[in-house]
Amino acid sequence: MNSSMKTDDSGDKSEFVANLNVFRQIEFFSGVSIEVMKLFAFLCQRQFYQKGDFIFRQDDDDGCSYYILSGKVKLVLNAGGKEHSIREYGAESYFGALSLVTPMVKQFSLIAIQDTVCMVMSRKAFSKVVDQFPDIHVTIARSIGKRLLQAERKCIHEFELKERDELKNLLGISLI
Amino acid sequence: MNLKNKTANLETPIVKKPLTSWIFDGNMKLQIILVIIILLTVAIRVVPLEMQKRIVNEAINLRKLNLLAVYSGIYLGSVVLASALKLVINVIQTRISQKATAQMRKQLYHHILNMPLTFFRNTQPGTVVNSLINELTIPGNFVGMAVAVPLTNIVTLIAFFAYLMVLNPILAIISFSIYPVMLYIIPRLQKYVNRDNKKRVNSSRKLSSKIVESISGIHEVQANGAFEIENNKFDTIVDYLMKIRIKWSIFKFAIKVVSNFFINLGPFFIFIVGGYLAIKGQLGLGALVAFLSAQEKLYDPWKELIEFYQVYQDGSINYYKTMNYFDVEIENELVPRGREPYDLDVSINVENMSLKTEEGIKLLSNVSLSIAPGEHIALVGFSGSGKSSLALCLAQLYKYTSGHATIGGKEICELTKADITKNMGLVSQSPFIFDGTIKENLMYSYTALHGEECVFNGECEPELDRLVHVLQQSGLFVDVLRFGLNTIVEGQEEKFIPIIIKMRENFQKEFEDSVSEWIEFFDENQFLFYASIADNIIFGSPVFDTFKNENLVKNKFFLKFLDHADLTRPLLTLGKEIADQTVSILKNITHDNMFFEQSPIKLEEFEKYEDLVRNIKNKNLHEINKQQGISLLELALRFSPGKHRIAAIPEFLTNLILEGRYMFRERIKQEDPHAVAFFRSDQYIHSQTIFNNILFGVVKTTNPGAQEKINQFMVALLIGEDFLEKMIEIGMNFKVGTQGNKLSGGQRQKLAIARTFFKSPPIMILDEATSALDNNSQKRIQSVLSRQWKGKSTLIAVVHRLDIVKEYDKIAFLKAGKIAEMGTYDELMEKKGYFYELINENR
Repeated sequence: MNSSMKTDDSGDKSEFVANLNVFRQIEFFSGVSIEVMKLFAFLCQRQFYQKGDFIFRQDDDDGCSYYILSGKVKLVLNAGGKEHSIREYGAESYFGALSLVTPMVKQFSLIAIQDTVCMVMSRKAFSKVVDQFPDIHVTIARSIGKRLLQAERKCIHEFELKERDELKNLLGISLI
Repeated sequence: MNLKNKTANLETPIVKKPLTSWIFDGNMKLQIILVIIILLTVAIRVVPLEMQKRIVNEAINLRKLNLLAVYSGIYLGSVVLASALKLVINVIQTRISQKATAQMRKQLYHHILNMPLTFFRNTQPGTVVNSLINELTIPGNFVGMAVAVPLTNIVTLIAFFAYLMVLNPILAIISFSIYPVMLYIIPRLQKYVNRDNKKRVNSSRKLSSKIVESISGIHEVQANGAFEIENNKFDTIVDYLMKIRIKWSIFKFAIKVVSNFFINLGPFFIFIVGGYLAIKGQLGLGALVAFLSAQEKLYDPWKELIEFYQVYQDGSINYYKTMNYFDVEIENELVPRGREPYDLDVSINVENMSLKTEEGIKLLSNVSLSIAPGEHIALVGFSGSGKSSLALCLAQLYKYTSGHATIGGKEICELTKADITKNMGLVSQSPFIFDGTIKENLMYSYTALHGEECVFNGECEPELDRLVHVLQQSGLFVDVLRFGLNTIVEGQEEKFIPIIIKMRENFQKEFEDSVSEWIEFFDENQFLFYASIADNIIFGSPVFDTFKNENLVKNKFFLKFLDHADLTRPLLTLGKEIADQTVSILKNITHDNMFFEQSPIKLEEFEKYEDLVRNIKNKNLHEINKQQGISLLELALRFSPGKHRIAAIPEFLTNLILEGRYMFRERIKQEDPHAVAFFRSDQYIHSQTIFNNILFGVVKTTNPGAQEKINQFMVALLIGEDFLEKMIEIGMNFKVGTQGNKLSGGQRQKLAIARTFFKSPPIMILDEATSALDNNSQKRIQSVLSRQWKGKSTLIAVVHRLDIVKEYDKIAFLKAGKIAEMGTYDELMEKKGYFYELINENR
């Protein structure tokens, strides 16, 4: 296999086995059974992005989630006619889980700032697995709830620290 | 437009025509000829009888040889002539019946295509298929028989009756006395036949509908593994149909039996009465025998009449059941009478228009709006707000139930279809794409407007430039280019091969470095990860079938070669690993094609490999049997390491395969030098697409961004070689599959938009026409609409994505079937009403 697509050097291990190991580390999927993980690992695809390539674009529903296997990426927001660099991520970051669950337009762009390899899972593939194991929904809902709560706590913490009134608008998301 | 054909038959719709009207309708001449021939035949049939008499009385009695010769000649001639005429009668009869069936089918089909859309909501396509194909055959047969059979047989019966009356009036009356009894009993039996025939028609319809339903829903059936459900439904209908058909047939036979019974009673009465008379000396024995044999001649015509009666009964039931089913009033005539279709001034005015369903639900209530020529209006609102209904009412596809809607001052519901289609183009949300090529679909609306004659043989033949232009406008250009590039060259297109080889050289020269991450070039010294093991060994395209991938495991030469190249055992190991892994992942789930896209095992083979894995579980490779070995080898040869990630290929094996490639080449050159065409950079690879031939390699990535870049290089190359338009032309010959199944949802929508752009009508109605497109494609189409069509064509667009709505002159916000707000984008935003809220919600 081409050098840049290879992320671990154990040549005798199949990509499927490598993918499976990765999925077991993704926090979002913790609690999902091994049968399901196997299907995920089987159905996902590896993609290579050259430095400067868009991995996904703001306002597009690409219907995919991305796990960074190697390389470096930058999260970008276009707002008010300006481009804001939000932050950078390295390997082992995971993006776009919500896109698997529901049609959703990405609110940010993700750009490769080094040559990057991602493990990509599509909504189509994901829903095929859900058709087989409807219980996944519960696990996923838990993960989403957990994330929302974390985000809310972060906002509350920020609010406590700075006590700025305009931050009030951002509070309450965990009560959806 | 071809007016002549379409104005015919405007007077009585086919569904109102009585069955008997077909007998003479358009067949007058044939039927008259038939009557003449039948009378002639009946007359000629008498000649042999007369000759018989004369041969005995004159020729033989008077011992005149010349008379014997003459009479025998006439006898022979009349027999030959009678047979020839019988053949002519049959030919004419067949012609009449087939012509009638064909006419019924054509006219009914023309009628059905024009029926209101509401009808089709409750009608399965299968019912229509069944009606057109099966149910009109017997009525057609009836039409063919309608004159010939009764005429022949009734005339014959009368003739024989007269003859019998001459022989003996009493016996004649007795032998005919059974017929009134039959005329009483048979129609009563026929009632049961008819009852069951009606049931049969109904359940045949159900059966056809069921078949069409499950075939069109085959995706869903297979995805859900719902074979049992569908099989049960089908079996139930078939069983019911079987029972009905048995009953139907039994009653039909009962009629035949009754009829035969009474006919056989004939001689019985004659024996009794005739015998009595003979014993009493009132009837000569010879006369009795003559009478009996003459009476026997009644059977055949009577039998034929009964058969005709049955065909008539079955035929009318099938005919009227079919016609009544489709007897729904056509809302709009196809073409105007006595004038050409209007070129309408395209201002649209709607006043208090409402649309109510049959159940009384108001989909639109008191809608009023006016649209100036060339104005662009967007209809927005939540789903169920009536925005699509409004658009479809304006397109005459729904008939509004009250109020007015006019185009150029003419009431829409009073316009003919021709008026509407001349002035309007509609793109629906899930447009229908017909089986055929891209080009045929692209020209569909245009061809419908101008007529096939003019488009294919006349002055309306479109220029390639215009086709290319609309492809660009709709964004389908890239897709068509892709189809062109993915074509496997054959026939006519082979003339392009030298150019393609030249492009291959230039592509590698110019772009090799920029794309090497995404493309695996064919290189005889490299193992190809994105080709199957079989392709890696053969490294060429098979010329002989025995070297095609699927036949390799049956090819003794190849198997022997694998042994000699030390490849058999490692490939078996690999095959076993693939089978083990795949079965372990997929064993407990319902199968779907998607799961098998990335596996060398095909969906239909899964059970076979599941068994295989179980059988060889604890065995070593030397313990498995030959058939099991072949199955594993088959998997390994199909395995493509870059594509099937289920197993890894050890490095020693790739080296071994490379060695094998050289060895195979040597061997095949000695054994069968023409069996395989090896990949060489100066040779065209006939089994591969144009794209792969230009690349001289395969694309590894499925990443859209990377593919886009490769495409850009490819386009640059094509432009450089002045081959872009040719490639588009090749691409437009791409066959889209039934219902456009080989196209994506987005491509189907783009094709539908392109087909309307190509027609360029003065009014365009887009009913969520871009819903399946990505943002960029949608924006491109919107900008074409705004730049090129504003002021030229009136546009009514049902819009569900709000980012393009700013481009419209006017926006109507619908809520619960009413226009809640209307105005320009800025006006509505300022008003801070529903529209403002909707926009903010979507931000």
